[in-house]
Amino acid sequence: MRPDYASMDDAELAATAQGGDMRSFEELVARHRDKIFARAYSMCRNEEEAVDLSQEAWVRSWKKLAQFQGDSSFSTWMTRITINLCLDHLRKKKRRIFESIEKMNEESGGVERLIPLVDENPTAGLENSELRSRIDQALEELSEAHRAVIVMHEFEEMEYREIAKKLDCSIGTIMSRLFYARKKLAVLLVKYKQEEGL
Amino acid sequence: MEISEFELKIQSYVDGELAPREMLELEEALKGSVEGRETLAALVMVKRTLQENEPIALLETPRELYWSGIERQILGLEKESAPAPKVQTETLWSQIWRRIAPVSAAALVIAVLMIVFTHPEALRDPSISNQNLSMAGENSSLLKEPESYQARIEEASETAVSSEEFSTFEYTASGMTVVWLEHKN
Repeated sequence: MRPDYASMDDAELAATAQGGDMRSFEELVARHRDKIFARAYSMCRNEEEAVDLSQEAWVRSWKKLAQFQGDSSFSTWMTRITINLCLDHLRKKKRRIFESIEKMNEESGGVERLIPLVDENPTAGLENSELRSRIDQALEELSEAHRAVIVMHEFEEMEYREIAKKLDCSIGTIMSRLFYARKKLAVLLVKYKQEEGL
Repeated sequence: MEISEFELKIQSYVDGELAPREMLELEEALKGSVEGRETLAALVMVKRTLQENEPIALLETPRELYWSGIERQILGLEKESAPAPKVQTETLWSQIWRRIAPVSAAALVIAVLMIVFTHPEALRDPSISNQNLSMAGENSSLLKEPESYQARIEEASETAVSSEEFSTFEYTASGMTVVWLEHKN
């Protein structure tokens, strides 16, 4: 009798998939494919690449399925695999994700030296969809190095140490990148608000 | 632009990465720093805004198409990683045999043909055979027992093996076997 995959939770599906049941794995893919694609897209900002990378992440997870012990949720485990794959991809493309701090300082520009005053929240009064659209626009303007750190820290809630390990750099470097990225996002969100008021 | 240690401490405070004692020290320092409080407010705003409003890109690829791409890759991988079929290793004897078999067969055919063409009557006419054998000497057992030999000749069997141009015969007598070819024309 065919198992009722829809009624099984992720851990049960993962356990069955570990035994070689590809239909269980297909159910996991169906459940988490949107999130995995979204994470890949947030890292590489290219839809076609994100589809390929997310599919590759699923293939990689199938190969590594025996290593999934349930210490974290399947979703978290899968997302980590996706992030690793995206970082590898970015490294291969030599998109300067590991450019020097000096280079990033230049990108920041002199007029953005100071964190803007946030007396008035630039996101106040915006509908969720509009706010998300602005954040998406602002993320697009970040360098890949900054964006990768923001995605890992803010969306995946990874600690400094874990990010440093993944990017193979010091915790100090991660803190600096994160600070610059946040500063730039703050500046951009204020700017969007001001442009709306004009 | 240099980021001050103070700014990084504020960020660590926002991210919950400071030890309890460091947190207390920073809070004291912020009381006397307007700029520090502004930095804190901006960092908190960005952090909350991002965490509460993560943009979600939508996957537009149909479910079946998306899965088929994954499944195809997985099956390809499993095919690659499947153990290769065992290759039969040839033994030394079979290697030798493979090389000498054609030569041996050719030598055998030549030997048979030489017998057939040099002494065809000897093989077919027992009387001639007797003449030849008589030259072997008076003590030949075959000459001493002609009747017995003749009887055995008569008992000998000839078996034709089908062929379009040649007939092949197997001749058995006196415990020996002779094979010859005879052209049908």
